[in-house]
Amino acid sequence: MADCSQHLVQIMESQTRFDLNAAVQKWLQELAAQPNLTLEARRELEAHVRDTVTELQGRGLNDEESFWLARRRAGQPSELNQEFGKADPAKACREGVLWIAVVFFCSVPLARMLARFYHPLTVGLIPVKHSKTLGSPSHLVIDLSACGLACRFCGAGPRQQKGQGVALFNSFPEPRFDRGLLFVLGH
Amino acid sequence: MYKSAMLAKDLVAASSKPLVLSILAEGENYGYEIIKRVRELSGGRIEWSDGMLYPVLHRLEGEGLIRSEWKEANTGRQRKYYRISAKGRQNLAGERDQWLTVHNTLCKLWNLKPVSI
Repeated sequence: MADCSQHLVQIMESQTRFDLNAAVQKWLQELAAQPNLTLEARRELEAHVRDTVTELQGRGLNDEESFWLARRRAGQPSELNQEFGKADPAKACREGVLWIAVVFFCSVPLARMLARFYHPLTVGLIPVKHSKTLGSPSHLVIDLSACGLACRFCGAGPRQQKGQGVALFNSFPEPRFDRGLLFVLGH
Repeated sequence: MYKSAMLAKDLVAASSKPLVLSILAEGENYGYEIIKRVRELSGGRIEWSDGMLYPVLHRLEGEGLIRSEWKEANTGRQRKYYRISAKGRQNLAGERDQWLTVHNTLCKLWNLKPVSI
């Protein structure tokens, strides 16, 4: 009888025993699903969580409690993904190029539509029929410059300085694309 | 009476760069210890969200202010150690100048003793 109850206890223990390594691996799989969390970033986060677990175990917490708290301190995978994305200069650059392209291609038809009525540089002053610059290379250069300025103005492009550690502290305002659009419209 | 509390998020964000660079100016270090050091030095008033320090470190590395290297710790565990670069030291000198300017301006307004820059 005693053997039987001891066996039952052993079964229950084995069923409820927390496997720290398995839990860490499962967590790493969650991180791997995030596009900005590279293998190196995940290795670094794993090292951090394991250090935290060791510290918490030293304070008397068991494996499960330590891991739960360490994981919570590390932050949500989606938040980490967002922040790592901002810290990647190449990605920020690609985003910048994309935004410049979007603004440029949107602004060309818009500028031409406006230019049906007015010269692009003197909105409201000179009717377009008197302009010889419309559609010329100089008009294109002006348009391109306006797009570039608009993108910088609205915060597109590499913005490591402006957006540093946003989720870490959640304190910086997001870039305002509508301000850039207003700039283009003004042009 | 005013009770000292955690620092405002804006201030914590702005100070992250000089804090990280200053800690690394003391010698190479890794993320976990950097967070601990900031917590200790600030008496717990500057609390960084653990996982979010790493994007800041990566950004500073991208700017060429710090360098990193994977090494095996005494425990046998691999850790990524960061160290400040020459460019980082120059940048830190500029940061120091700016922060002390703000500090001294406030000290004068509050009749406290300024520090020499």
